[in-house]
Amino acid sequence: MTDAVALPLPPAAAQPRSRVWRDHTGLIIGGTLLGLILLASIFASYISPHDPLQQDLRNTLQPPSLAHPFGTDNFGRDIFSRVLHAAKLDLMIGFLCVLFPWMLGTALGGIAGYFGGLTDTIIMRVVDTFSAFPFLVMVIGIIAILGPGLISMYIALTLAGWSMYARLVRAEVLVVKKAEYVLAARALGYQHGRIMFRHILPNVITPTIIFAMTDMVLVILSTTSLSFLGLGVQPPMAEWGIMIAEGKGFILTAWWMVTLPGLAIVLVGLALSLLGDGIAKILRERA
Amino acid sequence: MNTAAFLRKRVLQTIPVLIGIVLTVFLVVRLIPGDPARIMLGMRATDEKVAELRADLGLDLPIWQQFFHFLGNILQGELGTSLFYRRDVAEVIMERLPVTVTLVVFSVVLSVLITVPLSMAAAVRQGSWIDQIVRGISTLTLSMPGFWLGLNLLILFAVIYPFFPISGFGSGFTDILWHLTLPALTITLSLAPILIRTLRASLIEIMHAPHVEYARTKGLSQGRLIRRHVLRNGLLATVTILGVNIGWLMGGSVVVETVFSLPGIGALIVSSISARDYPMIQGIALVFGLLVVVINLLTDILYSALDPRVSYD
Amino acid sequence: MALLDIRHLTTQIPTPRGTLTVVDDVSFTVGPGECFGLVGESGSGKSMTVKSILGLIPAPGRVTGGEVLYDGKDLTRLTSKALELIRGRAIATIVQDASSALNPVLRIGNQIAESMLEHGIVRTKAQARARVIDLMAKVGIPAPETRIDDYPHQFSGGMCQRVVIAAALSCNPGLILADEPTTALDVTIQDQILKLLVSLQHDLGLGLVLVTHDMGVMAQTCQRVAVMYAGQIVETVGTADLFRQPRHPYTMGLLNCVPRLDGPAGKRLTPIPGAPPDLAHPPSGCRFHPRCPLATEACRAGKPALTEVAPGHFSRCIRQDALTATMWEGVDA
Repeated sequence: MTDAVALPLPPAAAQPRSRVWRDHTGLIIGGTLLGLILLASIFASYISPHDPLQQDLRNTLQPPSLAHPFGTDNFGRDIFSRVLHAAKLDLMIGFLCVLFPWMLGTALGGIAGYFGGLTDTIIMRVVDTFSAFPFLVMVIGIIAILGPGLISMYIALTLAGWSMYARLVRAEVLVVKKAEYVLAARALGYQHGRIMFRHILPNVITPTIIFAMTDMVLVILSTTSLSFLGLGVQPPMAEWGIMIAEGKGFILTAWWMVTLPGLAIVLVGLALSLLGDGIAKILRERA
Repeated sequence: MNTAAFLRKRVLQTIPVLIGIVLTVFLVVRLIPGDPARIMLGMRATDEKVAELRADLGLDLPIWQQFFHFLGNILQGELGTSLFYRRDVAEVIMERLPVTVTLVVFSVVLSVLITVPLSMAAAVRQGSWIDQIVRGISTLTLSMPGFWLGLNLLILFAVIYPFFPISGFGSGFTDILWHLTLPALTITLSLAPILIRTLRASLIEIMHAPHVEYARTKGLSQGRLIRRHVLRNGLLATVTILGVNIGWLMGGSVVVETVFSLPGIGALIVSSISARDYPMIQGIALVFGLLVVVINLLTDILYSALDPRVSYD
Repeated sequence: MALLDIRHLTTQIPTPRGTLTVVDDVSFTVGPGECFGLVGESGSGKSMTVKSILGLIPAPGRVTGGEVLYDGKDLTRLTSKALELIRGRAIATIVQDASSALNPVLRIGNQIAESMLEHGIVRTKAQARARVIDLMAKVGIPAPETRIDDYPHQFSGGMCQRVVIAAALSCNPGLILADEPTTALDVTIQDQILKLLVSLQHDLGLGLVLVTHDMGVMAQTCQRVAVMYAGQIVETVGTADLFRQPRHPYTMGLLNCVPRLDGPAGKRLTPIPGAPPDLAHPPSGCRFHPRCPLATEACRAGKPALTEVAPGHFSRCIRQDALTATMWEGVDA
């Protein structure tokens, strides 16, 4: 009988525009959203309708309106402006509290993976100890020791977060270490430092970047939670968590003090998640 | 090895861990810069009182002797005196512990009731609209801070539609459940994304396992297949996942107790940190550590009861 | 009348690379009490054929052509629900890796009784238990009254396979599909299980479709055998004749791969050069021609069909007359 191939092959056409949009919806939306938020925070002073610090005691606890898109708080301050200004602080903390663990973790993980032996064992034992505690527990614990405050929070988030990066980087370095171009570099007698920076590092960075994006969501959530509890950023700085804490006392009359600043947090988190997933997808496809 | 011997052995295994926890707390408290006695009594204490406390705590003894002193105190239930409450730390903690325990238990029950059916639905109809919705909502909730979620629930269900109480613990079984519904729901919703994602993946893996494929050749209906061969095995995965994420549950209780003004030890630790009440912080750290060990022990025992492959030795 | 009559069965799986035709125009019959073998390399389509019979091809694959007639009914036209009534009851399955196939958290007694309870063969738990003990004894599991409450991890590989066989027999099927039942077992256990299968089949008058890549296994158990290559049947014949006079180059190649006790010592094994084709883009004409030393232009251009070249002996090779006993000698791997 005949060799019947009943189903036609899918057409190998060029990628039309709609295809790019469909495949990378998350990435595009996330990237745009994040870009907008970043711009808004950088130009907060220019686009804020009011001065975030200005009190107007005749207009306290006003619901959202055209004049005050997010309403006013118990001091009559415009919440929308405050949210924009707080964005700068929260985003910066989010970035730095991912950057520091990333730097510390990558350095230690890279050293452990590259040199191996005793160095590796010692560093990994330390990593294991730090990893044994749940993230929030460790952060709260460190703040308990150091006392509440912005600096304590930086230290706590860094110390609680670096071990994941160390593990990730070490695993990647162990693989890359055996690659031919590394062996070639060593045969040519290059110094360790040069090999690590110019040959190994560029190739192990990618997974850490993807991880950093999800980590940033976690860090921003932690920062706002800690500030809400009074353990992180201290008033009178404008920060989303603090604003919500201030609003807690007024939920009976002014829900917008709580709900609307929180929306900012959710939007940032969503943008970062979508962006991170989208980048991960691209890198997976390319591999 | 029979059950009694197994239990005995398992409990004995927790002792080194407990000692490790006590050691860690002991060392960490002494990491705080400054004189521990003065820190404990505050800046305004007289030198006399400080000296008294130093002798009391044995701070002039060699460090290892201090540790045994410390350990001895703990075993007698002597956890020090709270700077803030001016009462026995142990007493205050005992008053507030039941609140947190009830909250955590309620949250676990609620989590299982919500996440297991959702994960099952998403796994069984992988890629369908149910799956998409579940995963979409999960991603959304993942970006929501727990305290904000809790406050919004409060606003919605206690202020605008005043169905639940705004704060407090209540008394009597049903009253307590009523008071704890929104708090437990907050913890559950914060935890749900992580639980659902892991459980769904486990269930999908189980559904493609050889034993499910084989069972299908016996002509079992889809329903029977899922119930007997996927659900039973999925239960194991659920217990493991819950056990692993217990840290989040406890972290969640800290925030939730603050939002809903529940008199538990979660809220207590926040106020103690703000007030620099070191004896209290130390006491709570020990209790938390003990709770985690107990919960892990219970999880292990539950797991071995469910999985016949885990032998009793 | 034949118990199982497969006619021009075709199964395809769409993939991003192209559509794989994993079962291509396969036809054979199995009579009651007959053991029919499906032999071939990995990827030849033998497992897929068996899965197609009961409609168990993993999505997105599906049966796209042909008929599978069991007892006169075409199984490919049945709905899922209707197929569920046939599986485990009229047609039972024995799998390759029994230890993995059994659910680790359920007792083996329950797993043997499953299909019986599902299909209503027994009504009560007590009835089921009695019958399970009976079945366990029949397949040679010692101390069935105690072992019925054991879990799979307490059984060895061979014992697990006996459990699977017991489960297969539980609803008095007419046909058993055995997909490499002994591949995962030690050679000595292999022998025991095969003998068990053959004796059971004989005693109960069952039809048996045995899938294997091991010619020795096939020789020991089957009366008739079909050799499969790249999704097609290339030769169908009685077992004895297969060894005595194979009529396809691929079959001869397979036979040559098996070391012979009576051959000269130190003789090197002759593998078939090349590799099985990509099922998304199979070679034109005869699927085997790229690897065949006898290939001609006709082999590449035409579409060889399965023809009866001797009574009861079918082959797809158009160059049969050129087949010699030594055709594979000296061919470079």
